[in-house]
Amino acid sequence: MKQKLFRFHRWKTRLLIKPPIFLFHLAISFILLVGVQPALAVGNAAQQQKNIITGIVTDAKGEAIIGANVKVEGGKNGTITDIDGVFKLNVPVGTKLIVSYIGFEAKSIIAQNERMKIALSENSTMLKDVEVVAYGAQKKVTITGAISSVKGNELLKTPTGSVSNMLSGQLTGLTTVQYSGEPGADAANIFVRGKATWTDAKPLIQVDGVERDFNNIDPNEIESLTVLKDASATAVFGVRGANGVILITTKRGQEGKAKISFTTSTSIIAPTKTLEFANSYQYATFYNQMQKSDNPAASPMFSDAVIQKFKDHSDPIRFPDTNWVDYCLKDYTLQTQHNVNISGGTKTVRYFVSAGAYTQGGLFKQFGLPYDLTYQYNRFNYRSNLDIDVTNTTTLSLNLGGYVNNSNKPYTGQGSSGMLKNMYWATPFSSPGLVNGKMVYAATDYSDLALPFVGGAGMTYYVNGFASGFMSTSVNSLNTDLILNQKLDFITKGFSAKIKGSYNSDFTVYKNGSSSIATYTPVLKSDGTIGYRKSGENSQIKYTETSGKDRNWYMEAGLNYDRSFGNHHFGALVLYNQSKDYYPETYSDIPKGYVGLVGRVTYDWRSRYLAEFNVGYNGSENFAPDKRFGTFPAGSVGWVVSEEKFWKPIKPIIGYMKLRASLGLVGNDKVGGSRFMYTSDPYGVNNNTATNRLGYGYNFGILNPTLSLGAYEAAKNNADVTWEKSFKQNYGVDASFLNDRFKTSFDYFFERRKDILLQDGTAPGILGFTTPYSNLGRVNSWGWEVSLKWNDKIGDKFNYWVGLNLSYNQNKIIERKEAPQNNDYQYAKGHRIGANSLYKFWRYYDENTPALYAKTFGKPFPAYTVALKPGDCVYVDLDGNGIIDSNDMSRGLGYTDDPEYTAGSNMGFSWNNFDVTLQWTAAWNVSRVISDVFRQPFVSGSSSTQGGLLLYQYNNTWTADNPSQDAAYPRATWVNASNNYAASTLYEKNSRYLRLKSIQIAYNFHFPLMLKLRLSTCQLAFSGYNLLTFTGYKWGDPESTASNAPSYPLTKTYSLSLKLGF
Amino acid sequence: MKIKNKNVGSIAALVGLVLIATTSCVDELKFGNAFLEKAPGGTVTADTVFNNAEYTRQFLTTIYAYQYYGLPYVNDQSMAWVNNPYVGKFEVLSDCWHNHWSSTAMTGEYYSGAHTSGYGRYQDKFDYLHNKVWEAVRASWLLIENVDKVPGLSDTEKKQMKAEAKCLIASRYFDIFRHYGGLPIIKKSFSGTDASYDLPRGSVEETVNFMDGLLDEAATDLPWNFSAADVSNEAGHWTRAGALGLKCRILLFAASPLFNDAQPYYSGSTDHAIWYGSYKPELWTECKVACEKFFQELAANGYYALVQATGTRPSDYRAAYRTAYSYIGSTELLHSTRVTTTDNFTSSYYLWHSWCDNGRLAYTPTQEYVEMFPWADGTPFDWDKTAAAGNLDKMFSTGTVATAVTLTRDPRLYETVIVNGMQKSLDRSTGNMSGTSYELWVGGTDATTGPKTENGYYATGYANNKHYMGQDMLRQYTEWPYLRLSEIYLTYAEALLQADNNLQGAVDQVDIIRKRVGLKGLVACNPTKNLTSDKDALLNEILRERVCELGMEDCRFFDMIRYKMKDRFEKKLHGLRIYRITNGVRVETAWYNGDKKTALQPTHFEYEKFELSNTSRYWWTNGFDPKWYLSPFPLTEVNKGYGLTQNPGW
Repeated sequence: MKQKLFRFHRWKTRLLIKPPIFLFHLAISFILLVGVQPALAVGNAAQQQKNIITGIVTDAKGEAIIGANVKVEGGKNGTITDIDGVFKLNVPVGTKLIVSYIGFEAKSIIAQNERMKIALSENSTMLKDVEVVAYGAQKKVTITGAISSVKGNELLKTPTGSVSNMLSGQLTGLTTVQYSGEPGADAANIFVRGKATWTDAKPLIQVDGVERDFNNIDPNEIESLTVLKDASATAVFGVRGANGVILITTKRGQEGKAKISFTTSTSIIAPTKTLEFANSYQYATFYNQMQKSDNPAASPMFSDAVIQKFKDHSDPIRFPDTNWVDYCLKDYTLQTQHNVNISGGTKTVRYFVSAGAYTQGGLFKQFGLPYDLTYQYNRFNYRSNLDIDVTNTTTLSLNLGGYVNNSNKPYTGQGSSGMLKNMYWATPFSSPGLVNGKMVYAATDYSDLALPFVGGAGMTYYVNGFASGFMSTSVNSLNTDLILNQKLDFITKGFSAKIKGSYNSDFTVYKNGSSSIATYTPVLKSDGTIGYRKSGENSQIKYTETSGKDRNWYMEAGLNYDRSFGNHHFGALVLYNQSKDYYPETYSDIPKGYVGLVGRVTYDWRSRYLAEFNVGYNGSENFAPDKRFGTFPAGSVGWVVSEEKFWKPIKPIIGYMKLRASLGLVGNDKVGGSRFMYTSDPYGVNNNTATNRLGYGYNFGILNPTLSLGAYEAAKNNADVTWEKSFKQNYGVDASFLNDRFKTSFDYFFERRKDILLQDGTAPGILGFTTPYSNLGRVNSWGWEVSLKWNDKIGDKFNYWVGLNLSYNQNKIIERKEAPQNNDYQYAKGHRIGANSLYKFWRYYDENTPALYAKTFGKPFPAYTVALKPGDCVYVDLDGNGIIDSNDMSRGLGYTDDPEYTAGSNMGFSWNNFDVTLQWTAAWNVSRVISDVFRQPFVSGSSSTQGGLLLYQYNNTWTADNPSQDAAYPRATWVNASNNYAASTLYEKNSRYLRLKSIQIAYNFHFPLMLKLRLSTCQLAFSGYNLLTFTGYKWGDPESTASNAPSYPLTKTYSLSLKLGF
Repeated sequence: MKIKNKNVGSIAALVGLVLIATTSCVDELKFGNAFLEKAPGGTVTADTVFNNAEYTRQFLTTIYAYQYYGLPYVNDQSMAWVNNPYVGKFEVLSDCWHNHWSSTAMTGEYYSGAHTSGYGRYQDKFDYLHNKVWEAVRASWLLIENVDKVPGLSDTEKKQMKAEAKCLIASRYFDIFRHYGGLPIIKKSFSGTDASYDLPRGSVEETVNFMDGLLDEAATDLPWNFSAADVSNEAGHWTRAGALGLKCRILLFAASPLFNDAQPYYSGSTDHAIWYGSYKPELWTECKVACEKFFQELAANGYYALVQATGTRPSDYRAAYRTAYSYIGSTELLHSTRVTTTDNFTSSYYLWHSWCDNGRLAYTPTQEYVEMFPWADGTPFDWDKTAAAGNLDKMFSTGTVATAVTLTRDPRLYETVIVNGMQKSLDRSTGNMSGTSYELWVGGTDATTGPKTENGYYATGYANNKHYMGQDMLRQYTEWPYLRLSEIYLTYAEALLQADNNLQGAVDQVDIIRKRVGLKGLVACNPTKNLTSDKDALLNEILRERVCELGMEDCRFFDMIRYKMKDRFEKKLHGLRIYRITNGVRVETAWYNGDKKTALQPTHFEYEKFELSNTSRYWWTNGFDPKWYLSPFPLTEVNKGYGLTQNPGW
């Protein structure tokens, strides 16, 4: 019956999966003929005079192994086991036989007369290794797609709260950019293989197979994290897979005694770099100098008497000199992290239960206010993953996870960047800060000697216009999964079904407290003491509370097939899923839904010839019914060359080598624009908002408070909109050398993204509507990744490893439908996504410049709209028309915000009880365009004459006294500001860096008391995060932004942790 | 094969459990395509709107919301950029105001001379694409094209709605025409699926005729004014008075030398999109005829009239003038536009007031402007003579808050410019002034260091008061005086002078305006200027009168370009530093916020005119290139190749 079934199944497979698989079959049949037949033929020839030996080969669990090799040692005689694991061989009793099967330790036995039972045990770890893939797991050795992964334990060595920041440099093909260090909001932007679209290029992130935010997960809960990069790995996600997929798998229990793990750590967090600003004296002198350079006849803004006051600090309340960064920011703050988890199980029930707490202090000072506004962030995580074998063939899994978090920030209405920019825009003499608990502002109306102006103060979060106060946000998030796995071996062996349902809900409470605070201005009294004039009053805190909610569910049902027949191994998967999100950002009242069908077939022959075919068929409600569903196929093949006979001579050196290739189609439906762009043009009616509140109503009449309602054409739609399509190719090699001591992997990829949504910029602008979105954009992207790992022992006790991974990504916009420009270099088209439009800075102007320009460029010195003075910026007239204007701004200069090269190096050793690991990361071909006060002195949100001044700018500006071509900034000027502070390559700053992302030095204790306490591990570790950064970038951390939305300082962490295992 | 029934049962139960748990009785369970059907909501389309009388009326209402409003009041890029404070008001490019907040296009692009056709967001004084002009034109054509099929609207109402839509198109065309010259003429709504576009730029003549034609068509179907019963709800809609008045304004602009001259404003250009091609005296006649038609209708239908004072004090005249331009029910408004009800200036929804208060909208009047305002009786102000007579302390007012303040100059000065010593409040109905007085000397309570450092709202020693009025505007209804009767008198005066050389006729029209604010006639006040025989002298007086009457009402900048006043653009401008004198020495201290308890309100000062330098204008040192008379079209728009030609010099 089993034989029959086998045949039946083969036939069915052939019928079901048509041409591609059929071709595989042909190829495999051919290989069978070439490879196996001769062996059998040899066996037949030496048949005489020998006994028939029989036996059965099984794995450790007693399951029959089909296709195991049974050979006479040193001879050519041999056979393979049949479908029941049984072999028959004509050899004399007592012959030494070798039984081998890929993935198992070969065993040598002596041929006996009776039926032998041979149990093979699985061999090398590499073959045992299982990789999480989309909707399942595969043996690493049989994988043909581009996948990289990291174990949760590796991540834990980086002491930070959000997982995305642990990933930097850990994996090939992953770019992370951490712009902000704000507690609870410090997640990095992640791109898989760079950007291939200018719409949403974020990858799909799933936790336990369901789309979820992963930055709030307790890292202790993570078993592994996998990045799916090529079409073969992501096609099953269909319209959602083109930007790559990150899969996070949480830990599960194993059968065995309960294992308790307890970790606790306390860390000190400090900014990686804070900015320095000019003091009052420097500010005033620079100001006067700048004024003078613009207009030598101008009377200086700051009189000598005021400058003297700044210099001698003799009147610190009325003529203050406050370093706002020092004044408002703490030097360090604390972070703690605790986790306890228990895992284990009986034969039928396995569990993993974890509880974690994480607290991170904020860097802003509290100044004794009765509420918390330091940017404090606390999080409590919990998880319980349960697997129950309901019957021998049925497993029910229940995952319950979630968190409660709480963050407190100041009530400024502009987030942390608002607080920082107010600090950066402040003048040092605007306020001495708090004096005896009073918020004092300097003034311009002193009777004896007046400040020319005050400018902004840096403590806006303490006194913010009319109100100050705090904002507290708490989120309560619950995720549940219910999974049912049913083995259907009674239908056919290796057949199983799976049903999964997930439900996620978030509830957020925003609580604001606002109050007003009295401020004081100093008044010099006749007796020489200082009195204060009060304005405003301290008021009681007023509370307001609002809440937000989110709710979504996901379900899937699938059938799985996995079985070996001889040397052939088949796998197949069919799965249906649908999901609904109830309060999406746009049209929050209309839930958002997805429906999808997934198919996969895998085949391998002795894990040597590998083939895989994946298909995703799914639909998104964002598109018209006839544009809604799409099919995304991908195929991949692999060849483990090192298993071939001809490889034998090289095997001692290159023990393993696999070649991989994949190609396929994937989609991206996160295309920006609005939802439902396919419906007829929407109109708005009954609009009851006046124009000044961005509405469409109108106030007719005289003294008439009634607003006439408005109706309007809201948008132009396009019924043909659909998703982006991505055609991806990937070619890879995996190899290991010298007995697995050296492992390497290389991938090259190429992707064509088309149908990127855009608004046609070539249509006239006077049509009266915004041109509808249509799928007209194209981008090509390509790159390569390489990873190397050396792992060896010196003696028994010293084990060390060095790993290096390096990724390169590049892209080029092929079609963008931009409004026509005069020159090719002005277009985004033809350049990398995110390329900045910049003038090409040449040098600072001096009297020789025009002649030098003519000599260098062979063209006359171009005309400027301003009269250049020595020290002003001179740009290259790219279009050669003799005028410097916006037509000379090119997108072909410099780099972008996201690096082209990222590298990571993981190294470490263990020696006796010590474990030391270091994680380095580097990024290059990356830049930041500095702007705002980082570019132009005395700029603030409301003024370009009374804002802040960077100390670096004070020290490195071209001046008449120090007319250096190497100065970082041109002559300081207001008159020629439009020239000197234009966006140019001068302000495009290389932000490449090399940093010690994390370091951990751990000591494992082994003392006798541990046995009594039943303690299996006791580890004390020191670890650090972002400890060292090597960069030439001077405007804060190289990953942060220096613009009018500056970021919360990135932080470094020194951490001490204790880990106990029972 | 054995199948364990027990298992199947438990599996089925679990499957059910999983499904129920996930979909949790919230939704009806759907699969496949049915699951993705869009839930109802947000499905109003053109058919909905134009099948419903009420929605069609709403559609017209929204076109009104796309109209021009003359003040910066909102910082949001979805709104007209001319209203964005970061663009700034183009009147500060004239010789009467200077912009003192540097973060605006006025300073960054215009004063610096850096403006180019490659401009970006918030960089042009009237961005070609982002001022709701084309949205209004499209919506108006959509209305005209669809209104006939709307059920439930009477033919009269349909006619009137179409007429209003035509006025809206014409007014929006003129709003942009005065910045750019000839424009592509759009006579329909576009579908959005056209494969290519051919929209050639019209000549000045074609563009003027297009606007003129629309207004002529509209005038016949519109009421002259709204009845007493309707006006309190309907004011703000276009009327025949508005349409005919706008026609006068358009024809004046067209007839002026910028377009109507023997030479184009930019030598070498032959493009009729910027020029009529030659001097055409008949254009002035057309303008005069339009004015005559307007005044005939006014005589026949009445309703609109200059607001007259109830007393004879300068402050009474000032109150009348305030009512005339700022009161939403003013009988002088031929058309007004609105963006909100009242000026609740603590809110961030009407930045005009709050950002005047915080000094960002510092459109500071220049000394040159202040000197254009005559004395209260109408005789011209002369600095040197006044200084020689030792009367500078009387050039704004006499008296103190304690003894009563008397205004000494043209009452319109105080509505237009905040000057030193003037009281902060004026009761529009009684003409009484009250409150503390502005201290604009260096170190004064209001100006503080502003005039010294040339910063902030009082950077020139003066501040703008037009449309502002401080606390007096609190919770008052706001409007933009889009078109005011007094302008038509002045337009008529100019047309009479230019078309017929009728100097006396022109003087008579100007005197109507002067009389309203208590000024004696032009001729009587200027005996030496031969105003009944010297055409140029009279033209200068008319233009001066225009900027005194229509200050900050989009008059001066356009007068300067209409008459191609290159020299005026190049003239350096000044502010006034006022120093408080105590015991013969300058003290930079406040009185109200200072020594009010021990000293009397100061009335004696030293005055020092100073050249403006924050920021100086490119034209002052580099000369005024005539290209600045008209704005550049965005380069990318020209490059699209649908027929737009660039203005010369850009």
